[in-house]
Amino acid sequence: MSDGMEEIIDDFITEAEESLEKIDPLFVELEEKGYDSELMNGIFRSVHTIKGAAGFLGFQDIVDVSHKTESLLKKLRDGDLGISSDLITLILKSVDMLKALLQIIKTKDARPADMDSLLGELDSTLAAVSETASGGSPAAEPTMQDEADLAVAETAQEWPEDDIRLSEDTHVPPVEEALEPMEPPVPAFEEEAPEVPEPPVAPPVEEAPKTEPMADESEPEPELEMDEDLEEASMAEAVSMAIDSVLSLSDEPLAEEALKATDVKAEADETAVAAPASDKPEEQKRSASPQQAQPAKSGMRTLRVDVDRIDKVMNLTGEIVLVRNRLLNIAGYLDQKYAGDDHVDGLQESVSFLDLITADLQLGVMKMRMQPIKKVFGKFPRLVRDISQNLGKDVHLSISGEDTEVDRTVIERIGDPLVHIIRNAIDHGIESIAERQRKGKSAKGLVEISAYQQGSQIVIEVSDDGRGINVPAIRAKALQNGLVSEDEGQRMTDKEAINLIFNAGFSTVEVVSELSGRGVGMDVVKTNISKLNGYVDILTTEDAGTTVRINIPLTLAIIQALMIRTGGVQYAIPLGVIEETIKVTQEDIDNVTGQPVLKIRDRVFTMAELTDVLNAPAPEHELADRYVLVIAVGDRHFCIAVDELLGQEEVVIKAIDGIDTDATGILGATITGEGKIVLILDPAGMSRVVSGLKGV
Amino acid sequence: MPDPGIRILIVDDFSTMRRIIKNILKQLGYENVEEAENGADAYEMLDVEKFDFVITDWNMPVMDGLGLLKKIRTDPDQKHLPVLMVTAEAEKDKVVTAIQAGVNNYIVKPFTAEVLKEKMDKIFGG
Repeated sequence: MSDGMEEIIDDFITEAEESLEKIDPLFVELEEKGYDSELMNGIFRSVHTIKGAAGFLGFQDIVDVSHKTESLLKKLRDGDLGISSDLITLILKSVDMLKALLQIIKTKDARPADMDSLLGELDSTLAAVSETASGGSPAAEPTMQDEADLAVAETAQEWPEDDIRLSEDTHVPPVEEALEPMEPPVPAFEEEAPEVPEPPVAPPVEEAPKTEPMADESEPEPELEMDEDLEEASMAEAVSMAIDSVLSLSDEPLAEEALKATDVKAEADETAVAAPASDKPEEQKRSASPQQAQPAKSGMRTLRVDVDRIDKVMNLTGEIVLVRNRLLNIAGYLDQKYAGDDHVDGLQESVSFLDLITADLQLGVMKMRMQPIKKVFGKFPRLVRDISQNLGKDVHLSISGEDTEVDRTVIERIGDPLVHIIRNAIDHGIESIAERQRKGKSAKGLVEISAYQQGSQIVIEVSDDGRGINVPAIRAKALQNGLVSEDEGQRMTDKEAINLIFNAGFSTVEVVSELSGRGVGMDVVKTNISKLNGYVDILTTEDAGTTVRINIPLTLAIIQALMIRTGGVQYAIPLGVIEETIKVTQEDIDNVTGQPVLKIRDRVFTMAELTDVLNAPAPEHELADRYVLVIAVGDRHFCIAVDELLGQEEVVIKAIDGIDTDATGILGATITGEGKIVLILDPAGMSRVVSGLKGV
Repeated sequence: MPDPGIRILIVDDFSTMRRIIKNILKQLGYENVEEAENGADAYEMLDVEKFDFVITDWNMPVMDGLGLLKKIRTDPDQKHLPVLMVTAEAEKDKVVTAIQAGVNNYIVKPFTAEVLKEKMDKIFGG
């Protein structure tokens, strides 16, 4: 296959997937609101468009499924069918099938096994409608080219000359010299008429006629059969020819469009993409995607850029940050050594300027990678609908802050954990309708999903108004499982007890059924969020509901860090989690059952030596006269003792292959201003290790 | 042979579709092709640039192909512009509606270069 064809197919898949993504939320809205022609048209258009393009590219399975789905949608739109849950489920199933078929183009797998049964289901639903609906109007069936020609010819024949507005006007060619004289269309159509020995159709109606009036004019049975034969023959032929025609083309016009070939739409930020945007403003205006089309006139322009290119710029920016750090360091040193030297002053000035530019560049690149979280949230209406329907619950979903922008890596990775949390909220949080009524709550449960930015963090919350988490049951279960000792269990605050559900040990069905609470896979949620350098909090009130709050840093690649040294080794700790740094003496440190604790302004914190946390060689100091970092991960606070505080630095996180962040508490590595390689510590990981330490 | 000077506007909301049609036109020797993604954008382009031929989809957001066609036929400067409707939606009553609105011809997706050529020949009297 030529590159050109592959590129068109790639584009088709991307565009068709985007188109299908829009359907789920529309349908859920349709189900809630009842019939709405605007929503219906949106859904119809998505399926219709995919059918059209798939036909050209020879994806017959997609054509089949979308054709039948479209027919069903048409019945809905024309009022031959009422909206029912079953029907919507069937259509959503078809949409899922279309998504699966698009995947198959990529993976080249065999067609899904349930494809035929779905087609059968669609057929029988359609057939049932045709029987019940008045006459099952064949006029509503989409026809193929020959039929269209036929209709054109018949219409032209039937009409008195002056009814056809075109006949007088169109024969004047727009550019007399450039064009052959243009024939009026009517005579042209009439040439075809003699070949068509069909009975004339109904006389034209002024507006688009409904299907029923035309139904009695023709014979449903034979015409339907003919349709299908025609369809098969001409489509197969058309497909192969279309492919040939695409194949035989040169790549020249395709290369032009290579830029569009991806899944990230970078918004044309003045700084970020000014250069390419100014190249071909016309083309960009037109290639803006449909959903962003409305402000096209007000100058909003988009450009599709390959993700790899953006990532490359991102990495290079990271390298610049490192070089900048190094230069700042050297310039500072030179400034001290050769104070007053003109060249050193010049160097200082240039480096400060570089510092500013780098910060702007970093922000610009970061913004380029940001996408609205709508991309993830958009799937939830359908999810909530499906889950609550399965469980026989009535749940209303409210979404806010879907325009909040997050890094694309977050978009890619936050979906699964959120699905899990939402499923838990409906399954275990929201009570059955009967139970809710008994408690005096409204029968309809509420799940709220929101996203917002808070400083350098993105906060995503999933709340329900269900029964809340049964904390005593968690304590009992943790004790029974040996997760905590009796003593620990008693010392634990409610918050700490709730956090136990993040332990892998809680991920058993048995626990869930016993607790009627959460637990399934919450450890997986925590792991996934940790990978985004984020953390999860749970707030729960009995019978009032539960909120799961996720905090994720705005950018994943570059963070502000505190540089420290302990046991002779330098480390970086993300600054965001450090509440304060203090110097303590031996008197400040207590010992509770072998675990050192630190009392700061009447609050008691668990304390650990960093070298113990990291399992590194211990320092030769006493615990006294140490620097201590008070670290907050979510609601959990603890203290880490280190030898020296070195200062704040912006670090670029470089992942280390083969390092398990959860087990080691190491997030990655970076290169310092002095050019040294330093490990970056993961606060969430440290927190876990600290709670596992028994006495130092 | 097609006149290479003919300037064609393709109107479709699905960019893959625009590319496919553009390729077919190229195969037929028409290189002077521009794109618009809905009727409203297309009409705006017609207002500032000169086109000799419009190939439009029917079902599009903002302004559909029929809306565009009606606008073209009621615009004194544009009413002679030949318009070909390209759509997968070929119900008889739809075809009738399109003809009433003044479409020059109607073509059903998926189509081949041959079919498009035939239609264009008809429209341009080739």
